[in-house]
Formats: sequence, C-alpha cells, structure tokens
Amino acid sequence: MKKIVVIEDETVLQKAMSIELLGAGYTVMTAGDGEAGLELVKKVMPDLLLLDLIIPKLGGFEVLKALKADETTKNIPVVILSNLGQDEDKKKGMDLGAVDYYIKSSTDLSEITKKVEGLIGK
Amino acid sequence: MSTIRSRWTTRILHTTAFVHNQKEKLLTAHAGGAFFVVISIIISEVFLGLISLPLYLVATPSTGQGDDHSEYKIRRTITLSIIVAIFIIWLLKLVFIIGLSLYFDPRALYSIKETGVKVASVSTLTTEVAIAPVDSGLTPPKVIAAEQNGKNTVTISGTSNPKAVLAVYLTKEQTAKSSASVHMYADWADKNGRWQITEDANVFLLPPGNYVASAVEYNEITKTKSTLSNGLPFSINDSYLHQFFRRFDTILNIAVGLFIIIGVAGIILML
Repeated sequence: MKKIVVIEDETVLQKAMSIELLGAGYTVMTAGDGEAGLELVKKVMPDLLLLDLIIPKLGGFEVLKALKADETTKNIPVVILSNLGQDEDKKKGMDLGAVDYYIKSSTDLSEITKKVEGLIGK
Repeated sequence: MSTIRSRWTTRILHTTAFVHNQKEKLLTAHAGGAFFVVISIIISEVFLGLISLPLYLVATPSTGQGDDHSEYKIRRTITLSIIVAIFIIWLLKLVFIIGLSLYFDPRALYSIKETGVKVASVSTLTTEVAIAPVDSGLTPPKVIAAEQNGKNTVTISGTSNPKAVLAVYLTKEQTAKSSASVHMYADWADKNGRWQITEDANVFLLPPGNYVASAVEYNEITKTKSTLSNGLPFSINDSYLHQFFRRFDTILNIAVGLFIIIGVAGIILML
C-alpha cells in the first residue's frame, strides 16, 4: 500500500483527510507540526506528502525547503493544502518544489484524492 | 458511499478554513464588525463540532507523531457534553411540557396587558341578571379595587347606589384550550353605597392568571340592570413553585443558550 504523510495541525482536519485517503486505499500517517512532520517523512519515506503551511514549530515552507535540500527526500512529491491563498504564496510553494497547491476554502477533498492517484497511483 | 464521505470531509475542510479566515479577519476588525465576526466564529465552531462528531466517535487508524491532541480532546469533550446536555434538557422539557399541561391548566397562549382589556359581554351570562334589560337611567357601579389577599384569594370592592343589588364579574383571559371564562358574584351595597366581595380559595380556587373585574347594578323590582361598570384588571399570582413550573420552558431555553455560549467560548479560548 502506498504511504502518505499528512502534516496538518488541525486535528479534526487530520482525521478528515485520513478518512478520505484511507477510503481511497492509502496508508496515512499524520504529524501535527513541522518538526515532527519532517522527522516522520525521513523515517517512513512516504510516497507523497500532503503539507499545510501554517503549522507550529517549523512552517510549511521551511519543511518543504528542508525536504528538497535533502537528497533522500527531495523526490517525494509534495502537495500543499493551505489557507494561504495569495498568488505570492502559491508561487513560493511551487518554486520551492511542490507539485501542486490547493487552497482549503475552495478545494474538494476528492480533488486531492484524484491528484494523489494521478501522482502516485493506487 | 465515497461521494458522501468526500462531501462530508470536504465540508469539514471548508468549515475549518472558514473559521481560520474569520479568526484572521478578527485581528483587523473594528468593534461593530468584530462582534459579528465573533458570532460567526461561535456558530461555525458549533457547526464544526456537530459535523465532525463522527470523527470524535470513531478512531481513525492513522499513526501520528508530534500531534497535540489537547485541543482535539477538549473540543471532543465539550461537543459531546453539549450534545448530551441538549438532549437531556430537551427530553426533560418534553416531559414537563406534556406533564404540566396534563396536571395543571393549559398554558396561556399569550398574556394580556393590564390595560384596555375588553370585558366579556354580559349578555353571554346565563343568569337572571344576564337576561335583564339595560336601564340607562340606572347609574352603573364603580369597581375601585381588586386585591389578592393570599394564595388565589382576591377581594373586589367598589361603590354604587346605597343598598343596591350588584352582580360582579371576574373575566379570565383566554387560554390554549378554553375560551374566556366568567365568574359571577352577587352582593348588596351598604347604606353608603360601598360593597365588597371576596373570592375565597377555600370555596373555589381561582386559577392564576389575568382577570378583569366589572359589575352591574340590578333592580330586583323592575328586573332591569345598569350598563356595565369600568373594567379593573388584576392578576392572581402563582406560588414561587407554580411560577417556576410556568416558566420552566423559558428557564430551560436560557440555560441551554448559556450552556452553548459558555461551551463555545471555552473552545475558542482553548484554541
């Protein structure tokens, strides 16, 4: 089974995303802050990372930078799902190496699942 | 099934995003605007608590680390407590509403202000006085005072012609199941034209509520009566226990409202 790490500080949302992705047939692991998320990614080497940007301890952009700077993790596709909807935030995320950027208020979770399926298959 | 699941999880996603955006807005909002933003946050948090309830009930098999679940547990505890409390309170309300209307009088649909109340037509009464024709030459009596002396006991007093025969009416407001009721009493004025009747709780229990006292003078020889006097409004008050039961529904609504406000405020403070 493909593994997905979700870094999201809102526990309710963590649970909701886990249910959605588990339902689609993935193994899901979650982390509630940037530091723990980075550690988890390095430990489990997931097939994909779903990343929030406004998270405690280490921000989402910093997590992304650190992953892309590390040879072992730089190829892990990162999908950003954030409340930040400004164009400069999107550009920054994509420039740092994210494969896609979604804004929470206007995204359907089934779109994310389809995107994940398109990136890593089932 | 997956469509329903996606819609549900997406609704959770959008609601958390909305709450986040409202919190951001709150940082820059001014007094008036801030108030509405706070209200919308409270409502959204309650909504989020309700729609995410299944998440609280079913543990998802995800493994996590670095998760701070304190906020999650607090929200879960408060949400479940609110729902259980609301359920119990509304169940109690239902029992009391059904029980009280069976045990006590039907509750009044509305209350009447103690001014401008129309007195029931005398012609509806089935007594000798009721069918007697009105003699406009007869001076109508005056109802001066209506005082509650004790539990459900009231004294009505007034003036009329000396030694006159009086019919005094107590008209009760309309309730959910009964039409306006009228109690009638007879009295004789003294040589100074003063009269007084006392509704005695030991003889007949006057139910609590709003009444109007009025009177007519009756001429036993000509079998005629005066026009109806002024109407004097008065209330029969309940005991504190009775008042509590009468207001139980309102008290519970306030309690539920306060409970929700305190609970939601608690959630927001914890976030």
